Amino acid sequence: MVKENIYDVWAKRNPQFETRFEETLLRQYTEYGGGSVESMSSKGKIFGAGYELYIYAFFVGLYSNKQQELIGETKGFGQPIQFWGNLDSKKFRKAYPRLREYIFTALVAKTDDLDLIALEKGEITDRKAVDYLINTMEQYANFGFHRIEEKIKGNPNYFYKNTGFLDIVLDLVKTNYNPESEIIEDL
Amino acid sequence: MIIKEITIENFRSYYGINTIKFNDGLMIFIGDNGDGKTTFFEALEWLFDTSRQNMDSRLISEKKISELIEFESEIISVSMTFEHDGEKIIEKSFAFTKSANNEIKTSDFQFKGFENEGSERLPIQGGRLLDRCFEAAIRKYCLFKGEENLNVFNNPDALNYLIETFSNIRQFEPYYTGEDNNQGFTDFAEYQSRKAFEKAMKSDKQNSQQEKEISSKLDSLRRKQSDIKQRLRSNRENATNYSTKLNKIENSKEASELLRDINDRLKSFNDKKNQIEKHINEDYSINLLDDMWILCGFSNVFEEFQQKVSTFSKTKRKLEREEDKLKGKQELAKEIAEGIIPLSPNVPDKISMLEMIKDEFCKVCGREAEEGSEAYKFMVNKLDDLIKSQQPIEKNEEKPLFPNNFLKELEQKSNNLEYNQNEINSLINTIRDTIEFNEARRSDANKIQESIEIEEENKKKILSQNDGLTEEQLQNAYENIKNWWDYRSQAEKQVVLLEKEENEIEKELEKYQEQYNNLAKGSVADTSRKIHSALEKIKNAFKNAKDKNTLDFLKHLEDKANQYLVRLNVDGFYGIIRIIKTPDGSARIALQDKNDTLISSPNQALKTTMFMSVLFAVSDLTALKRENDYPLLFDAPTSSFSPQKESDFFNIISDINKQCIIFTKSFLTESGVLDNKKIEALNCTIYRIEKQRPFNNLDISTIQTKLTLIKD
Repeated sequence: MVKENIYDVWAKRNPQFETRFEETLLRQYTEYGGGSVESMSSKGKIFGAGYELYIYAFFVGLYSNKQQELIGETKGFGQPIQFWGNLDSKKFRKAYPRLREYIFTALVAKTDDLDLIALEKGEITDRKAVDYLINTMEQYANFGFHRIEEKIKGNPNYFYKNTGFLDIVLDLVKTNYNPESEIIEDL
Repeated sequence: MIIKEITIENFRSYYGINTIKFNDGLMIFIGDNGDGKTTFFEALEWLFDTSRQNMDSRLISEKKISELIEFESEIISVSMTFEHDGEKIIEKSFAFTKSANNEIKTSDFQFKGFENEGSERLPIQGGRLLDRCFEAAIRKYCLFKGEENLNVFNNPDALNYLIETFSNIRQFEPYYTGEDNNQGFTDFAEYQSRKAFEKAMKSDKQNSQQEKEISSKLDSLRRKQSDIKQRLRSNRENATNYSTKLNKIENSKEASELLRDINDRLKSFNDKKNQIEKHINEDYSINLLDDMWILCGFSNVFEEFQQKVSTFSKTKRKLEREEDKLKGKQELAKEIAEGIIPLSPNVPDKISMLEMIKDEFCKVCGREAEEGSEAYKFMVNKLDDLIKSQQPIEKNEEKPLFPNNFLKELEQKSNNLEYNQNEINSLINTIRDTIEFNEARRSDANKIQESIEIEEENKKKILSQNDGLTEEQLQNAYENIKNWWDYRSQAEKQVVLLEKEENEIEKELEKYQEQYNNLAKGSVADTSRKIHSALEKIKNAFKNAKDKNTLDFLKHLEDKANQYLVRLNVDGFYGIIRIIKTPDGSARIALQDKNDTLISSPNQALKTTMFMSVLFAVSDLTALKRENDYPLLFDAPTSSFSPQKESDFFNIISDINKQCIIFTKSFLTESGVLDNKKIEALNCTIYRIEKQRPFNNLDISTIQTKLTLIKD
């Protein structure tokens, strides 16, 4: 039997999030739970599918280098990872399937629980290996969600300005890598 | 209604009695600036105004006034004979007298009407007759001054009037209104069944606590909703009212050169600003995903990934080598222990081996090998090895150290993504450049906005100017206009905010309603819930049908308008007219191409034909419904047309089966004489309007308009 790629096994999964974020975040900023991308702007929604906010939260956790365990009831999205970013049919949006691969590489890089040698030896199943990856993913995203929630507590309209979501990422990237100096050099 | 004859007497430059006969179809009045085209037009506007008794002395012919001697009286009048279920006449007039100090006093306003009944001619109040034959709302679609005012839907009530009058939505009124007063049957039934459902829920002891919570939430949301609806309505009304007020003033001033200049500048500023704003794309949150900006901090993570893959690869190879070494060593050890290198299993062959075993004698070394002896056992083992070696080669049963090869997959990923690494690394610059670009555009747009505000300020000042106002009155008028202006923009802003709020509340209501309904499922209130749900569905069906009716009507209007648009634009690009209904019930006319791309600023000529097409379509619909057409009068509608387009345009209009009266300065050469060749080509009645010569350039009382029929 031909072994499936570990990426493909991973992409078939539906990562979980704390159910409470459905109300407080996903329905606020995405079309999660009904609606179409076309009607987004009219309802003040910023993202399309629910997973878009999840991806965002994941990167917030990743760049903060912080994970947070999920507590309480959890649930997943309607679409497994393999369909994330396939927006081709939607108006006004571009597809970004490649982003999935970057997320995957980040998970491989950051999941220390996963012993690649053991996986290669067959001492652990690919299923088990992907469990570790998903766990990392969920915990980064969970930290990201908590971070977003905190921001809203401080200012409920924070994310309704154009630069809301971008600024958080840029701040994290700056503190991590300090590109400020680079920019000055460029100029 | 078809105009048969118009008589203008002593109205501004129309000195004495001027009578013009009208035909059905196209009629053109050709005149230069100041020749009296607009005055003719205004005489009709005055005649059609049934709202007030306007006896402004400025309407009177200066020439006539100058000829009057003290205490002498004269009459100013405009009358129209028209066909509408028989011949009818309306006539508006008032008297004017010169007093001792050369002042003009006006008096005796009359608005008379006559209609023929059999052979009898019956008098009737003129305004009433006019309103009956040519109702005020329709008159809005009849007289058009200049190119700027052709868009009928600038009037916010226009669409509602058309829909109410010409579509079938009135039939829905008994069944569905959508108003809070529950006057439609389905509104009423839905309301009553909801009350019954809620009552049943309240009497259900089991869910009482939850029911209380949700229903109080629902109540408060509904109150909020109705409050927002109320505020929306009043803000929309305000926005409309102040717009109308400002438009009215503007229309009364449109002759002002200054105002026209300001409007031109405002338009160009606004166009420029829109153009700039079109380039601004600040959907940064979307860029994070669609353009993968979110990877702007990914370089280090990716390096970490590559590092890990590389370590993995090294470790794996090392282990493999060690394993190989280990295996190699085992083999070697075995060989060394035996001290000899064994022969191939095929030597000796199988037949010889069988023979030697049978004979219990080793014919290789020439020794006895009795059964049970070491030598005999050796031979049997050797045969076994031989037989085994001849078996089909089975898979190596030995388990490899690394049965999986995920390393390869990870290495491939690493290589593939490595390829885009410079793009990822320069993301931070891309982001910075995009933000800078947008900010620069934004600041350009803001600068233009400043200019717009200055021009608007000037405009307010001009609008407040009026002849003979004192400084103080002028200041008051200005304050008024400024206030209207502010109120309008405040109301417009409020509308946007409230609409958003309304939307959110609606969604929240839906959510709680769902919870409430779920609570009822399986309880004693379930029957009531089902009844309510059914009635609600019926109500929604009526609502949808009503909406569809409106849309169908708009579609019909669009189709008709587009048929005209095609005809009015021979050999040119014309696009597709869309009539878009806005949430406040008014409409917007827009032009699109066949790919649904909005043509944001069509050239003026195209815009003019677009608006005219809609006007013709409206007039067609009216004719259909009322079995009665009405004339369309345009003052200088084709100023922006090229000469060729203009000729085409007039020829096409003359083919349209509609009374259409156009005042224009086309067909005059640059020196102000008639272009006979072009006139020859036209197939309609043509009048020449001009100033009676000689006249004194500086004395308005020498100006008199002369009308000559030049083509019948």
